[in-house]
Formats: sequence, C-alpha cells, structure tokens
Amino acid sequence: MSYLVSIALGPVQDFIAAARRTADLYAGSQILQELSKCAAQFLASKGAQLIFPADKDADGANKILAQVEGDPKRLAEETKRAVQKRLLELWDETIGKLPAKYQNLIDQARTKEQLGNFLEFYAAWVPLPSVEAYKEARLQVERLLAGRKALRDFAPTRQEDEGVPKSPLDPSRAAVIDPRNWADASIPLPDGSYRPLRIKPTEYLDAISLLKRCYGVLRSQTVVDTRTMARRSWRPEAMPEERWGEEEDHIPEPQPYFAILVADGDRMGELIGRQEDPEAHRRLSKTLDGFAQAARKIVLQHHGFMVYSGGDDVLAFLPVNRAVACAQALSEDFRRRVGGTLSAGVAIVHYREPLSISLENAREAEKAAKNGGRNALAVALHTRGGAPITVVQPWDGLTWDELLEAYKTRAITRGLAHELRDLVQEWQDDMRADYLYQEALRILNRKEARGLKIPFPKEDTPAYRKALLGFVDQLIIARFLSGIREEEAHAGTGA
Amino acid sequence: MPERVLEIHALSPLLFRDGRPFTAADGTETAARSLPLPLPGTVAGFVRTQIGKALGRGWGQEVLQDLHALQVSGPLLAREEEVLLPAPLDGVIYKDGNGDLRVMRLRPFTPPEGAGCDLPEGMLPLEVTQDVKPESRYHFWRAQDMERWLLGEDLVPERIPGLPTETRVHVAMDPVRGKAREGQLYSVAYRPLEMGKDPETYRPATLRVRLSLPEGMGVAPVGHLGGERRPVTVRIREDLSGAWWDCPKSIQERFRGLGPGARVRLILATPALFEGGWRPGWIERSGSGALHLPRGLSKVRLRLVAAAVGRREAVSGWNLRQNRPKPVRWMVPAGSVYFFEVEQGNPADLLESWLRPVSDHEQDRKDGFGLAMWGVW
Repeated sequence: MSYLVSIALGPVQDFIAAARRTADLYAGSQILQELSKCAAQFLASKGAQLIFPADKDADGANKILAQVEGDPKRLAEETKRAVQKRLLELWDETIGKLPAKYQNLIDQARTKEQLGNFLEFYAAWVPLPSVEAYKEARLQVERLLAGRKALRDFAPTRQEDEGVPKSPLDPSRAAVIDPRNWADASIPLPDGSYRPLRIKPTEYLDAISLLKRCYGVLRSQTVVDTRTMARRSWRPEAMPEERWGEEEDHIPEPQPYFAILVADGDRMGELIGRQEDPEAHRRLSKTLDGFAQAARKIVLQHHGFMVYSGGDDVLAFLPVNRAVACAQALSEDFRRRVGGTLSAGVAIVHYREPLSISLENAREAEKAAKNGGRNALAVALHTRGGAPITVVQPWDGLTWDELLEAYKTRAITRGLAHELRDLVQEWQDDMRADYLYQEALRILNRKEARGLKIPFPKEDTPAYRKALLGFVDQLIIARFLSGIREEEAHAGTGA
Repeated sequence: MPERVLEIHALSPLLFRDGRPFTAADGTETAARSLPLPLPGTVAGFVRTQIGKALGRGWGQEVLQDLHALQVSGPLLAREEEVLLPAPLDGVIYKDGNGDLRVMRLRPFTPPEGAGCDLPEGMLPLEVTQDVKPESRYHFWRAQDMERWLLGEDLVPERIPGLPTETRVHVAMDPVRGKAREGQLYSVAYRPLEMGKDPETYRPATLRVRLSLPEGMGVAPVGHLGGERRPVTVRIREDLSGAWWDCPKSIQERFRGLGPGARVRLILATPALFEGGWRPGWIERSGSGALHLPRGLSKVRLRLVAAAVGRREAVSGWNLRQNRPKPVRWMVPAGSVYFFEVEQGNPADLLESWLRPVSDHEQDRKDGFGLAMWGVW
C-alpha cells in the first residue's frame, strides 16, 4: 500500500529570529535546514520517494512531502526520532569543539531538557491508491496536516531554574551558562586559529542559543555581519576580517544602514495544487531548487549575504545601494524559471538596531508587497527615531532608478524632499491641483534635477496631495538607497 | 465576601514585559517590546498591592499571606463598556474567491480509512475544509460574537486587532551632568489603553478583573502596572454584572438541555497553566468528586476528544521577596479550545467555572490563569 506523507518541522520564524548577531541568525536557519535535510534523508533511506524536496540533499524548506510504502505511522515516529538524534549530534559536534574548560561550565541537565523539548514535528498521511489520485490525495494530506497542527502539543518544562536568569533571546528557556565566566571564551576553527564567541556579560544564553552562537562562529568565514554590510554600500569589497581588532562600538560608521530582503513566490499553494502527479510535482520541486541556487549567486553578485534560500523563500542581507537591483534580478529569475511571480520586501535598517526587530521590519515589508496586490516590491525605511515609511510598487512600474541616479549625480539633495513635503502639507484641499503641480515644478527647477519626473495631477486635490506625499516618501527612501555617506549627506543639508 | 469588578485605566501607555532583558546600554537589548495584554499574574499582583496599600497594615508575613490568597480573575480587555475576548483558535477568518469574508469552523473529525496523523494518543485532528490564508488582526472578539460562536453559530466577527503599539525612543541620561549619554538610545514599544482605527478616533479601553473583596477592604486608587512603573488608576465598579461578562442566558439554557454524551467546548479567555503542558491535568479526575478541582469539574466527567492549542507561551518574572528570577513555565495561550464529550454528570454544572480559572494548581487559579468559557460543538 502506498501513502502520501507530509511532514512539517519547526519552530521556524521565531527560532530563526531569536538572534543577536548575523552569525546567530545564519546558524539558526542552517540548523533548521540540517534538521529538515536529516528528515528527508532518513525517509529516502527507508525507501520513500521524495516529492518535495525532490532531492534528499537539497537545501530546503522545513516541509517534506513523500510517497512511502508500509506503515506511515511508524515511519513518522522513526523520522522524528532520527531528527531528534541529529539535533543531539549537532550539539555534540559543535559544543565538543569548545575547550574542555568551557564545556564543563555548561549545565548539562538543563541542556538535556531544553534540547529534548526543542523540536516541533508534525506528520500526516493518506493512502495513495494510484498516480491518478495524486492531486486529490495531496490536497487531503495537506489539509489533514493543517488540522493536526491546530494542536501544538507541548510537554511541561522542567528546567529546575529557580533563581536562574532567562535567555535574552528566548525567555521561555533559562540560561545554561553564567556569561560572566565566558568573557574570554573562544573556539578553535578548522584552520587552527581561534575565534572569540564574544559572549557579553549579560548574555545568559540557553542551550539552543549557545548552540547557535558556537555553530555560527565555527562558520564565521562565510558570515558577513551587519556593519560590514552597511560598509559595502561604499566599499563593495569590504570583509568582516578587516574590522577585527576595531573597538567596534565607538567608531561611527559613515553610512550605517543596510538592507534586509525577504521574498517569496506568489500563490505557491495554487501552483502546487495544479500538479497532476508526483512526477510533475517533483519537476516543480527541482525548478524551485534551481531558483534557490540561482538566488544565492544573484545575492553574491550584489555583494550581499544569503541567510536563507530554500524553495521559493529568500532571506538576504544587502548593501543599501544594491538592494533594489538585487530584488529585481531575483524577481526576473523567478519569473523565467518558475513561471510565477515574486513578492519582495526590502527593509532599510540601522546596523545597530536589534536584529530580531529589523527582521520583523523586513517581513512586514514583504507583507506590504503581498497586500499591495502581489508581484510587487515594497521598500521600507526604518531610521532610528523617525516613523517608518513604506513604498510599494509593482515590478513593472518601479521608478527607483531615476531617483537613485539623481542622488548619485548630486542633482538633488535631501532638502528637496522636505521642501516638497512642506509645500504639500500647507496646500489646502480647496486649492487647485494643477497649481500645486506648478509650485512643485518651481521648487524642482531651483535644483539641478530639472528633468526629474514629478507625479502629474490626474485627480482632485486631496488625491493628488496624497500622491505627492507618496513621492516625497520615495524621495526620502531613495536617498538612503543611494548609499550616500553621512558626511556627504550633511554637506547637502539646506541646499 | 461580596464579589467586585475592578476597572483599570491607564494614565500613560503601558509596558507588559515579555521576559527579555533591556537596558540603555550600547548596541544590545536596547528595545523593549510589550505583550499584547498583561499576564494574569501581573494584574493579580498589582491588584493585591493596591488592596494592601489601602489596608495600610504594612507588608508583614500575615498580610502578604492574606493578599496572596485572594482570588483575582482576569484581566479582560474592555472597549468602553464592551468586554472583548481573545479570538478562539477554532475559527479561521478568510476571504473567499469573491473577496467576501467567511469563517471556517474547525471541528474534530475522524480521518478516512488509512489516513492519519501523529497526534497524541486518542486525539482527533480538526477538519480543515478550505485551503485559505487566514486574515490577520482578528485578535479579539466582542462578547456577543463569542456568545454566538460558543453556541455553534457561524459568524464573521468584527476585526479588532487589540491595543495599538506606540514606540517611543528615549535617551539615557547622565544623572550627574543632567545630559544625554552619548549613543545610548533605547526604544520602548508601549501599549496605550486605547483602541480604534487611527489615533484620531481612539477610544479609551480598560482592563477588568473580578475578585471577592472582604468587607471593609478597598483599593488604593493610583498605582503602577507592568514594566517601567507606568501609572494607572483603579476603581471599584458597583454594577457587577454590567462590568463583567456573566454567562449569557442562551448558553445556560442550552446547557440545561444537555445530558451525558453531550459535546461541549472549553475556550480559554486568559492563558492557562496545566500539569500536562498543553493537557489539563484535571481531565482524568473530572467527575470523580475529587477536592481541589476547578469549580464544577468535580461533578462532570469529561473525555477529551480534540484540541486547538496555540504555540506555548512563557511566563516567569522576578521574585521580589527572594530577589531572584522565578522559574519559567509554559502556558497554553488564550483562545485555545478543548473539545470534550460529557461521560457522566450534568453538563450545566460546568458553567460554575464560567470566566473562572481552570488551571491545575490552586495558586495559578488564584492568579487568574485559564479563565473558562463554555460552549457546544
């Protein structure tokens, strides 16, 4: 008897977002991928035919769909145990690299409790009598899985943590270390050099966060931190190594903003639902994996850092002045390969802002792109202090290039946006829209950027004022996207 | 002891800490975020403090013991005079093909022959009948909508996202020089006790709790609730029923007509703490006449059929008496739903715990964890 089995692993977003450093973030998504890969490989080793992902070694999503023979319930249990075991192995492999002195400083009992209660694993299965029944069976198994996930069962936690501080990254877990003893902790890399874990005296890390920290530091050659990413807007070849030894918190960064890009395919559920048989679905899985791999190259070409890329999902850090171009390239590649459309959100954030909040801003931006009708790019600016602003445009109606060019050639300065905004705000709704347009042109004509296109009034004054304010937002965001450094920007103030 | 409803008004936006540390130090932990509502234990502690202040007998062991023993049920959020309740997790609001709002009611079902899932032993999955993306920001329901939902009627509730977030950026001050400290920005995302579409139309909201207040005891009218010592006022509402959501007549009537074999549903109005993590420990002892069970549950034997339980939430805090962190515990989130079959007893007895706590441990119940709403399915 053949069955279709669907498995979902977690936690996903909360787990990944619980990160202090880029390396933590990267480690979180890598650990999740390793666990998912372990589930896929285990199923394949038991004779399952994988459908999504199609390849057991593909980096990918936290979801698995496979066709299996035999008892699906037992197979699901065994898979869960295999993934659980893999997590413990990951702990041993990673923490085992720490000098013995530090290993002995970890509370073992609490660690065991936390690792044992970490994984979320959900499985559902339906019979698959024939290939023809695939479409219907897949629908049923996904609905059944959704119905199973309605109950997020969990065991009571027994961390014996009376008097123990809670983890700053996930307050549902208590510390397994006393960070005051870890100030000088470092971990040897494969090349024999030592890298510091940089655990601050307030970082009461739980087992999962400690695993992330060590895992991330062991792969520090590949990770690009947020400050280096900010620097890449004016020095594309900047590498984290060059900052080693810098007293990081006290040297101002000339251009302190970087971009976080979150993207995923539109209406993927419908696309998957159209696959008639496992073979067709497998082809789609391969296509998506192809996109994930291409996306890694595209991000690299734009001097970015790919945090996560699996299936149609992308999460990347980019220099501000390459973010829109990179998003566009991803969208085009997705369209070409998959035949669907992509929605992307770019959040421009300060490198010192807490990462979990910046990440949330990027996810909000992506949501804005979805809500703006999908097939669109949303760019959100989060300065330190000011209210956030967001501009959503469909891919075929993007107007960023012209503005970026104008800032780059110094045709406009930050003053223009503010002058225009003052004008629009003072303009009353009972005054004529075409006069407002002429006034705006007059301001523009005082600048170098006479050719810059300002929205033309098509509707009544209130609507036109709104359109102009949207343009002002775009002007403000564009200045950040242009990657102009602070000293240059200040030189332009009041111009 | 007469029962009272206390109403809490905010004098400034509030902060309900989520357990993460935060300081104005360089670089890290510079942003505090607030939970959507205060945890029951936070509000219970606040109320007991106000009573203790009004009592004016100091904070000796005996006073503390008395205060600690007070049963405080809450908090419930109220928009002007209307009580709001957390959205039940067995309702999924979505837009159909025409863009019209619909609700999908999740009910337990037996999967067809051969199909299955890895739920805990004996549990049925809930039936998903539509492949839809849930609409966001339906976080609270009006009491009248909840009443209909508990009775098994279908309805699309009003979209109520709850308290807004107001992020303020502060600068750490150097107390000696009276100047801002270089680079020490921090931000706090407060929750003003207000609701509405936008700041221009915000209307005041309040938090309400119900408790038995011994004769002669009152509450100090001004105090501090939650993080960062934000000031609030509290007053006793004289109209007990008008300020609380008593069990509606329609639900009482429906339950009167039920007998053994009836299918009843428990929805949590505040987060709950159970011995079995997601699973209430009292299920096995229900209907046994055992002592120390939540109200009504010792008289009715229930069998758990299915549940919609959200991802666990954490509660810990600071033990002020011992000046050290409390242990962390994992709660079942508010809005979680349990589907039961009545095996023995009169289902109407369950209503004794209407908006009263059904957590397993007595002190958790006294702190207001796990207020119950009952309905049918």
